Amino acid sequence: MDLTRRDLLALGGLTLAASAVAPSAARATAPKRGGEFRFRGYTPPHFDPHLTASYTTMINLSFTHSRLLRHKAGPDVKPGVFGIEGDLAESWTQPDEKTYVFKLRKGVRWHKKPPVNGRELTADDVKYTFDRFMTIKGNANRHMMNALDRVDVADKHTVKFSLKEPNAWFLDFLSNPMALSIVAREAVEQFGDLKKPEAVIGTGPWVLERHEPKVRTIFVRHPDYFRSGLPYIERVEGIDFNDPAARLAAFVTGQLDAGPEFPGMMIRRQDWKIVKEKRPNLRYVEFPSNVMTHVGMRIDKKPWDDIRVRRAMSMAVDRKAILVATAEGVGVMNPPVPAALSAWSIPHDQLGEGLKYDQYDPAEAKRLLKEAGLGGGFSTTLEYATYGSQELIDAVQMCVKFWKDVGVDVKVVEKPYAAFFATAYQGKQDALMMGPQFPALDPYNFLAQYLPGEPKNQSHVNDPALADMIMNSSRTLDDKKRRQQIDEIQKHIARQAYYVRLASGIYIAALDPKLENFGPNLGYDYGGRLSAAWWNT
Amino acid sequence: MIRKYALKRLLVAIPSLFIATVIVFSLSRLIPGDVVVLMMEENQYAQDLEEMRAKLGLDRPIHAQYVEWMTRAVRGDLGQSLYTGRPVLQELARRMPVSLELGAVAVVFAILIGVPIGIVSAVRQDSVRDYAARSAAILGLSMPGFWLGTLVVVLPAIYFGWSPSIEFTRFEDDPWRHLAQFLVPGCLLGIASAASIMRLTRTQLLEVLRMEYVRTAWSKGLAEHPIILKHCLKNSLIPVVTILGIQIAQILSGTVIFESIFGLPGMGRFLFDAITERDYPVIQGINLVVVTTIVTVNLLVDVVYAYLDPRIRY
Amino acid sequence: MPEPVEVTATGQWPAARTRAGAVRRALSGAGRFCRRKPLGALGAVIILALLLMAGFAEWIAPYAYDEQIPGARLRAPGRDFLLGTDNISRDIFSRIVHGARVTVTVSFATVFIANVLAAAVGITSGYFRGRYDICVQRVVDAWQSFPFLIIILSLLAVLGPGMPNIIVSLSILVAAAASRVIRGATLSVVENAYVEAARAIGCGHVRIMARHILPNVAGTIIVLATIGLGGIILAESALSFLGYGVPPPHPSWGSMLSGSGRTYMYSAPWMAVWPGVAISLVVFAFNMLGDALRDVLDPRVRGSSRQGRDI
Repeated sequence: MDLTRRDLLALGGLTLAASAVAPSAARATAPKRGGEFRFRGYTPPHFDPHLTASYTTMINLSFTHSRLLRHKAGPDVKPGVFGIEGDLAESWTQPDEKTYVFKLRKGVRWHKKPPVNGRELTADDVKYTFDRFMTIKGNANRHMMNALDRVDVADKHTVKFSLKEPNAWFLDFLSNPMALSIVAREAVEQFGDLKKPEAVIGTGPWVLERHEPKVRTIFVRHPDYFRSGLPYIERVEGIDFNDPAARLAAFVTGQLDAGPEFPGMMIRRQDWKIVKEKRPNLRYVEFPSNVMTHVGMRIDKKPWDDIRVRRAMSMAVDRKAILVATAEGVGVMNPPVPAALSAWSIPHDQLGEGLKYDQYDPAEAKRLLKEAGLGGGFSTTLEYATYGSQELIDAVQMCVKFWKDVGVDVKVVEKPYAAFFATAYQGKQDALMMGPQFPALDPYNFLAQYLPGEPKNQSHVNDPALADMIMNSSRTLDDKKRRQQIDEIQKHIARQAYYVRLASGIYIAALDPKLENFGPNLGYDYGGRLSAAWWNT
Repeated sequence: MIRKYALKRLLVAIPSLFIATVIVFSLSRLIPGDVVVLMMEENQYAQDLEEMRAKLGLDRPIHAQYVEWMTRAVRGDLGQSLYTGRPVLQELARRMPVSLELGAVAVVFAILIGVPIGIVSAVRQDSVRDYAARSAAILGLSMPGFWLGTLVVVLPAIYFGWSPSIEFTRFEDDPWRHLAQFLVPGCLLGIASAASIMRLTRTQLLEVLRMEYVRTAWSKGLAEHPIILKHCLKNSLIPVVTILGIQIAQILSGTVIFESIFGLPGMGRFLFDAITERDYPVIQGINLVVVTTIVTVNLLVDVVYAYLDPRIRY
Repeated sequence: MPEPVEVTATGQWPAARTRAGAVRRALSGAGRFCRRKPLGALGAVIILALLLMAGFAEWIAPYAYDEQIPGARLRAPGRDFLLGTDNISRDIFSRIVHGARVTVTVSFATVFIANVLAAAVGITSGYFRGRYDICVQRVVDAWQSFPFLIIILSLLAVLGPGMPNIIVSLSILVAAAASRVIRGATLSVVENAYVEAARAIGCGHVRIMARHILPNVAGTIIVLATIGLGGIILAESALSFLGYGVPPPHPSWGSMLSGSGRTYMYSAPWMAVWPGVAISLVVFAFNMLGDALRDVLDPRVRGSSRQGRDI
């Protein structure tokens, strides 16, 4: 909390309402069962979590499936913090650095749908799921379990995970609402894979009742959910809706119960005024976004191998001006681990020497370029995809203008999303690339883009000392020690100016105040966060 | 006589349809090589390049592939969506009716708006009313459809706290609501076509009004309205039927935009999603179905037209 | 018809006289056009303004299209900024003026390519007739059976976005529709006695088509082009809305309206209103001028307004 407030940029009198973080929505009423929750839903390509990396699949499965572990949720959880608690696992131990033993809850029932028909979940199901996850062809998320060696069933309610090497992030990966839902063997055998809506059979709080592609997905309460009494909300409806202007109109006129923007329950900052006017009684929660946009530079090519050129590129960009233009001036500066992940991100003002390269100083940028022998300016290209985001398009145009001001002529190459993803996003751009990074919930994903050979290493960073530091931290199981290591890593990266990191906006979650015992957060676990909430009507 | 004409017209339509299918078929042949790689790597439509090329049918000689593609299409097999893995025809069968309903509502509105304005404009040629009516119609045509749609969604939301329902209602769930949800987008979609129907009604009516028998009727002192209605409308509406055949193409274009703004799960939105996902079998399937529909509709319209007005049989 | 050069014996400069005469004639012609076709004349004035904006954008616009004016974010239209400023503190009037250039480039390039293509296909088809005509017309039929947005999106999906690809794919479609009308016009011109005569004295096909047919169908082509221009501007904006328009940094009206315009719809409506007005005005102008020209130049295409409508 303190961290966010310190890093918030208060500009031009826009002091931040971010103090509204951590809502004290007191539990005024007793839990009540019933009612319907309507949110902006997504149509997935299909429902098999092991055959796609699409968040649209994961969001839907967060209502119907359970994982071994999950992130703590509720009104008291500070957004951006991801405490780990048991989901299907009742408890777990770590007999040695490379072994985890999970005790499963007893009496967990699958949804009453053929062919599983509500039988009890056992350790075999867990083993089956992870075996499938590791071996199925075409699993884009397989890298999450790179450290895993094997899963063994100790008894009906105990599973043992053996790792190839110690991995400090392993439990974070297990609780991540991406891909690691536990699935049933019978469903896979009956349907061939889990792509069809009929194959959506989990142990989660809601059961998928109906799926109309591009229209709606309806979930109804799972009566045998293992957390007895939960969920309170009887019916959940995800309404798939494409057009942002129409989505907002629907929210303003009360057709949706929560803000319609990604990643769930949000509204866009430029719409806040009208939303406040039209739905004055909403509850708003603000917290920084973990979507960080950066500019990658081909360090393996000239002139980007010259640290002065990279620093100049970074100092030429007025991050605050971009925030003002695209997010009404409200946002946070990002250290290499985005400020949104407050448990791991170093406070931006503690970056040390590297701090000054994040600050707008066109005169110094020009001087550095001159020092590097590029005083006369030079031309280069920047590849990007719009992601359908006007904010990104605006940010790109502003950066180009800032670089032009210091004599760097950047030609913009717009690519279709898929082409961008397959080339520049994987570091295959000619010179510069710009784009949002995967909004991970753990710092490792952000640090991985500094490791040689990683596809997400868009700047082609090849810094053996840094790679050692990162790998070392992954093997350090002690949280406190690891945090110190990650602080050092971030300072080192900032000094080197490997990427031009831009600031992130502050999300505004907009919720019907009658929804009680609910706290919004980052990530795709829509169902998990909603599972203990109720309507006070 | 009419049968002979119909046959002749059919003989003309067949080669056109053939060429259209070749165009549709060539779409996947035009995909650049690096995009095929992308489809495999990024969209994960296949494990390796061989399989990707086989899925797109690029591994066989072009004529053999066309024949196979057409044979299967005739049997109702349009291949499988790369993105969802479901048969394209099955997906289209669910979405096509939505677009056709939207199109039908649009046609009704186009006629309801276009014909009366055309009549006023012709009867009062070069009067202020003529200019005003025509300006209004052309102005409606001059607004980009998505902009009109946005205004209709956003303005009532701000000023009246109302906006069209974002939830699509199926016919079997609530027939009345189902039909009602097409009214607003159908009307907006019809506006663009109304302008050309107005233009045609006006010119046709002007020609008829100059004809001898109308003048005779006029000179006999018949009241103005019966003359127009009885003698003129009948004659001038026939070409309006023809232009409707052409307008179908225009209207189906509009579905891409209006289905997206009004959340209708029709073919237009399906196409747009398929393009985003590089789902070429779906893109081809939609084009094939649409083009066949349009060729057929035009054929029917021409034959009906010939039946109504024997002069045009050639 | 070309004016015969006056031979003068009065010592006046013939060139000056004829030029003055031509100007006078043109003026009186324009005057007559304005009186008889007020809506068409209004259209012509708007188009003239568009062309001036496109040609002299740097002189007319007070700011560069990408200039970020400090402290002037989201200003409503007023004395300082005629049409207001956008979220990046750029002057909207200046962007509209520069956007006219994109509009003119895309629409005129498309119409030019399309009509050259259409004239070549239409005239040869109508002139030679026979088997060649039948074959060509079946191809035209096929192209015309595609709803434009559907086939254009499909083409752009294959070819990739960008201004050249937009122009090329739009041209092909416009050409198909236009060639049909030009063919019709050619068919009736071919019937004329002077074509027979030219053939009788042994003129080649190319010469007949270029010298005798083309000038006589030129009116049709001009009308088609004028109405087509409006349709192309609308098509470009529809493509922008779907994310396949002219990419930045060039400001196109379509992307100003559909991109940041719609994003700030609720908080800064002027960002969408002005580009919207610009598009509507220009499309309106092309349609009105086209309608008027049709009445004046070419009664033949009066009924078949197919061309302008397909786009």
